[in-house]
This record gives sequence, structure tokens and C-alpha cells, in this order.
Amino acid sequence: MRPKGSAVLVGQVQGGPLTREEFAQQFQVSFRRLWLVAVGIVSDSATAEDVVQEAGLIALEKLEQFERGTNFCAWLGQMVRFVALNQARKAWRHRGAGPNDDLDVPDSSVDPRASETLPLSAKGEMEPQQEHFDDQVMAALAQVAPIARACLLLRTIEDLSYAEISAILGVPEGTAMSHVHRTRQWLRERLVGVHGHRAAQEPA
Amino acid sequence: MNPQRPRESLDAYLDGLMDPGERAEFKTSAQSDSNLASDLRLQTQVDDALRRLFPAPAGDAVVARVLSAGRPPTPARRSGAPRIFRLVGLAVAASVVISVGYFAYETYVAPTPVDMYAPRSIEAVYRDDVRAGFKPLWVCKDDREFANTFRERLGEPLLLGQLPPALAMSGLSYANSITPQTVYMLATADGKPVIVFVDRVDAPSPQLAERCRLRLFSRRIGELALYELTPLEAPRFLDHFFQPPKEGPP
Repeated sequence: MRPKGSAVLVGQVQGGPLTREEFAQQFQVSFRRLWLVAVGIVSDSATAEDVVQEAGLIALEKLEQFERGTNFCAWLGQMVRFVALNQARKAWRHRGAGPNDDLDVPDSSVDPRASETLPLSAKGEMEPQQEHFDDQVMAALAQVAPIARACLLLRTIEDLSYAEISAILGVPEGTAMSHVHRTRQWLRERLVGVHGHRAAQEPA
Repeated sequence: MNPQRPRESLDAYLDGLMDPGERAEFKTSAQSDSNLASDLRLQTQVDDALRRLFPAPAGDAVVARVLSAGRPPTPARRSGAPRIFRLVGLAVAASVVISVGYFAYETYVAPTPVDMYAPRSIEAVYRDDVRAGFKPLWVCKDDREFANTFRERLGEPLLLGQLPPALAMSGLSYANSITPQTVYMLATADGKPVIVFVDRVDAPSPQLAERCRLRLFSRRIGELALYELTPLEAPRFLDHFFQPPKEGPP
């Protein structure tokens, strides 16, 4: 499960800004990662797609600012981040809620079933309720801060290294690693339950 | 593998940071340590759920929409008259424009929106924001949003305590200033504009130009470095910042 290298094209070292065709090619290659950044922040797939599109429009207008040979995904990633965070703040204000940073008070928009413990068999295996488990994961993930969530998705789904995550999200590499490790632990604790139940309790 | 800290070993294993020997040792430990085995199993299922929940779209349609809606970028070169004639013409025009246009611009023309992605010194950020009406990018709804802004951007939360009557906080903005991650707070002290820039302590310290009339004061809180840029003789905001206790989800 080693982090794979970057698949983002960085373009040939030539003079002048990227052409529209080069921009489209780089945008296409980077799209998955940018979408994961957006969905990590706004928590909604359709909105994430709109965010990436808006960021793409901004990037196209600022194409002369992109320096050939540098990280296109990181460059566009900062615009995705900016647009996504603005979108998320609008949604929070509309709901009358805010981004969660306290364990004590869950987000009022989160599915209340998130507080339920996950049923585990005596052997410590998950019950065959994959859809219910996915809902639990989603509900727990909704309580995590947006950038931490984005770090986790980029690491888990896209298998990016912490250096790559750092470049795209504009956070220090150590911070990205800390976000992923803490979020993993926090999700496990939420999904096992609040009573400290351990799955693999060997039967007597 | 560190037997004293199995959770760190679990993360190292999941991140592919172990050599083959360490991986084998970890797997052996997981067979005898029921808690570690349970965590590994649960984490694997969480990771699988995340992959199911977030299947990234191909993006072709989005790329196509961006290209069809966006304007072509400004061409790097212009065609037309020979370059020497263009330069002479520009010089003549500039001598007239500079003397008249500068006065008109400073007095009557609204400031051009600032490109927040372009690198700017902290002095330039201060000057640009004052000219633009000293308006923040956004106003946080409450302390949680304020703290989370810094946590997301710089890795650590930050809060501002109750301010005395002479001080007022306007809001927050981003700037590619000390680093591309810099967050800054717009505020007023005795009615005068003050900006507090915040970045990581490992970022280079900003410096002011010799002729700058502003003053720069700094303070470190945790892993964050705060810089108060002010026309006043002393900092008025730095002592009011603090970090909340470390609790809650990431």
C-alpha cells in the first residue's frame, strides 16, 4: 500500500502560458484529486463538481500566472480550496450551523443515528449491513473538520503521499499526516461505540 | 514496529511506511493482539466504505463546460506595428498619462480588485486593503468558525479574546504573503487600521522596508507566528490571542 507517484502531468518546459488544450489535459488528469478536495470540504458530490468547475473557470482566466514545470494540481487546488471553503461557509450560515470542532455537540445536520453504536458479532466481524455501515461512516465523517476530511480522502481513496497532499491542500506535510492519523482514530472510536467495546472479544 | 504504541504502528502500516520486516512483525503482532487486530479490521472496512461513498466522476463533462464557458487567455505577444514604433508611442503616451492619470486614479477611480493569489508583501497587503476600504473576505459567525479557520489553514486553532472598547476586529482574509497559507485579521485600534498576519513558526519572518512608516510586532503561540502591522507605537491585539484546549474531532 505504498503511496504511488504523482500522475499529474507537469507539461514540457517551454516558454509562454499553457494553451487551452494543455490546460484541458492537465485539468482532466487532476480532476479526481481536485474533486476529492472539494467533496472533502463541502461534503456533497454535486456541489463538489460545481466547485471544481468554478475553480476551473477562475484558473482558465489566470492561466498566464501558472508557471510551466510547476505542480498544476497544487496550483488549481488552492482555487478549489478557496471556492469550496466559501461554499461551505454559505451552507453553514444557511443552516444556522457551523463547522464542528467540538466533540461535545454534534452538528445538528448530522444523522442522529451517528450516535448509535455499530452492532458487532461475537467474532468481531461486521454485521452484513454494508449500507447501514456506510451511513454510519458518512455521518461520523460529517463531524470532522473539512480540511482533515479532505486529507483523509486524498490519502485513502487517491493513495497520495503526504507530500502530495501537502502541495494540493496547502498545509504542512506533518499537519496532513496528523489530520489523517487523528481522523482515522476518531472514526474508529466513533464507529466502535462510546462504551469502549472492543470487537474481538474472544468467546469463552 | 513500536510495541508500546500500537496505534502509531497501525498508521505506519496503513501508510505503507514499514519495511518488509516491520510489516511481517506487525502482522504477527496483530494475530496475538486482539485489540490491534480489531482496529486493523475496522479501519480496513472504513477505508472500503470511503471508496464506495466517494467514487470520483470522470470529469470530462466539467472540463468541457469550463472550456466552452471560459474566455481564451490573453495572448503573450501582440501582432501589428514594429516593436520600436510601439515603444516610442508608449513613451510619449506614458508621459502624459502618468501626470494626469495618476492624480485621477488616486482621487476618483475605484481600486482594482486585488489578485489574492499573487505574492504580496505584508506592506502591500496593508496598503491594498486600506485603499479597497479595509473590508475582510469574510466575518466568522462565532469562535468555533474563527478557530477552525486557522486550524484548517495552518494546522492549529486560534482564538481572539474579549477586546477593550478601543479595539475592534473586522474579519479575516487570505493572502499569498508570508507564505501562500497566510491568514490575516483586519482590525482597528483607536480608529486606525491594523492587520495581524498569522502563519506557521517555520515560515520566514516578514521584514518591513526601511522607509515603511508602519511598525511590526510579533508573538508566537504554539506553532503559529503572529505579526501585528500597525501605524501605532505598540501592538494592541497580540496579547488578546490564545489557543483553545486540545479537544474534539480533527
